[in-house]
Amino acid sequence: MKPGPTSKSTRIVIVDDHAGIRESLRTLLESEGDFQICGEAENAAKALDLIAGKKPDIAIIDISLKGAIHGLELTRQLKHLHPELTILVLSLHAEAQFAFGAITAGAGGYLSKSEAGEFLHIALETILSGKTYVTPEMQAKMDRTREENPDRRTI
Amino acid sequence: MPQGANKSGEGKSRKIPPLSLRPSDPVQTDEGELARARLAEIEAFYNTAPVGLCVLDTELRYVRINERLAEINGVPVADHLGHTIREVLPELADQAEPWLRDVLETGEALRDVEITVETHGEESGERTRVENWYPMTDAGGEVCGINIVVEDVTERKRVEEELAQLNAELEDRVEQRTLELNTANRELRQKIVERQRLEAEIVAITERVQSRIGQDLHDDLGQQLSALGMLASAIERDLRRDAHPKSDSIARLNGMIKQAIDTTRGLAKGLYPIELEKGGFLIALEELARVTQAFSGVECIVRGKATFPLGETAAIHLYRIAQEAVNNALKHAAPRRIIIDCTTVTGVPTLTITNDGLPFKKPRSRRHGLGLHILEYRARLLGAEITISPGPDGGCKLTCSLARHAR
Repeated sequence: MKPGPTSKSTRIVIVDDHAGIRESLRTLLESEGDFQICGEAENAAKALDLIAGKKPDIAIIDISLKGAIHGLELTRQLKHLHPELTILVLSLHAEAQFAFGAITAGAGGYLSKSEAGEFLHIALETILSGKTYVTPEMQAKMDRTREENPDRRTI
Repeated sequence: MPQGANKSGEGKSRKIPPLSLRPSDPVQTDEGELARARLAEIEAFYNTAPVGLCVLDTELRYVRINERLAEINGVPVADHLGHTIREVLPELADQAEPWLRDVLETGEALRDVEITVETHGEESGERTRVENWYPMTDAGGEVCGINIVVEDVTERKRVEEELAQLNAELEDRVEQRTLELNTANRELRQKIVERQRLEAEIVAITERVQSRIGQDLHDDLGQQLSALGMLASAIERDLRRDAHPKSDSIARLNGMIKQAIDTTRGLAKGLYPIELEKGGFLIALEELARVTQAFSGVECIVRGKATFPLGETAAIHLYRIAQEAVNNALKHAAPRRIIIDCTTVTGVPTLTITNDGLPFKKPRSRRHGLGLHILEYRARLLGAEITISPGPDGGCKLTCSLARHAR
């Protein structure tokens, strides 16, 4: 997606305790599309301040933040404080239960870090349009899990 | 010839006369010869009998005595005849007289009378005898004397006492040995408890170390590789946009990084099954099956999916049992297929891991069978029982029954 003259850049905050991941995400986001990184935070407390100040369109949040508040709890708090904020939860885990957790907490999408290189842009575009995003592979896993545990809450 | 002997039977005609107190009395009948021969026979037997024999008259005088009793009394035969027992052995008389008089008065026999007296013959010293007293009657039915059988039981008593002594000593020793065994047993029990404690500690430490390494692998190495992967993806996008000739190379690099991430995740999971923390024992098993299949190429599936009422610690032990069984199958059995089954057999949660490879062989030594040993140890902690039997399609089947968790 090339930035058109009328399009307004999507402003993104990255929340991850791993500096290497933040740097790579930044590079990856800048490599394509009209994304502007307006801030980075390595923990939930800083993320809350940063997001309150910068009012970004999207927050990319690592599920396993170090400190008192982990990624899912931060997602819940942010959705409560800023209902208009769209959140993509990023994680090292490729299991369905984490995706369920993220979506239930209020995230618009869930992406494992190993899939980010390939699917980050489409994930961001999908959740910006108001839809929920997980990779097709993850969707299949989630469907399987739901079949086996029909009592689990659906997304 | 003793004085005052009873003569009442004398002169009467009878086929076999009663044993006379005076054996040398003439018998005036035709059968006299035969009777005398009989009497001589009896006399010979009497004199040579291996037990002491004597006859007392009503005054308790020795009428007759054989060699053996003379020997027991320590007094020659001749010194007995015609003398009372008091004259011969006053000490014996002290003890025996009242009873002997009883026999004379009542006409009833008295058996097994044990008497100990000091004698001065060949077998001198304190000697114990058992006497049997039988009243003798004359033709008129009157008691005319006492027929006595004496057995010297000194030796037997000594042996009996020794035996009793030995028995007592034996009992003492048995008691002593029992005490020692009890002590040894207690010490052994303590050692067993200590060993179990150490085993538990080893397993706990192993668990902690594995978790640490697993978490570090996942969180640190995983993050770094993920960051690398994203960078590579970014570069790949740039190169593709410019149709750069190296874009395929960077795509391959990206693919390799993804593989490295998968490997790291697999290793981390083996060391630290995060699903278990979330209570997902079956999910963890499925992940184990998936990772096993992905890394070994051996088909690995979870077939029975019964849920077990397990706490987190129990779940970790059971998961490790499954993991060890799967690893052992891969390592030793060269199977084509490994099946993990969670079933409930008559109310008892049962985990089985079946492979279709080579038959199970017992490890050569304890050192070689360490995995198996730890496996059994975990089972003990779970209150579970592990059995290994041949599988239905070759290979073997490891069954872990959690009787303690039965519903």
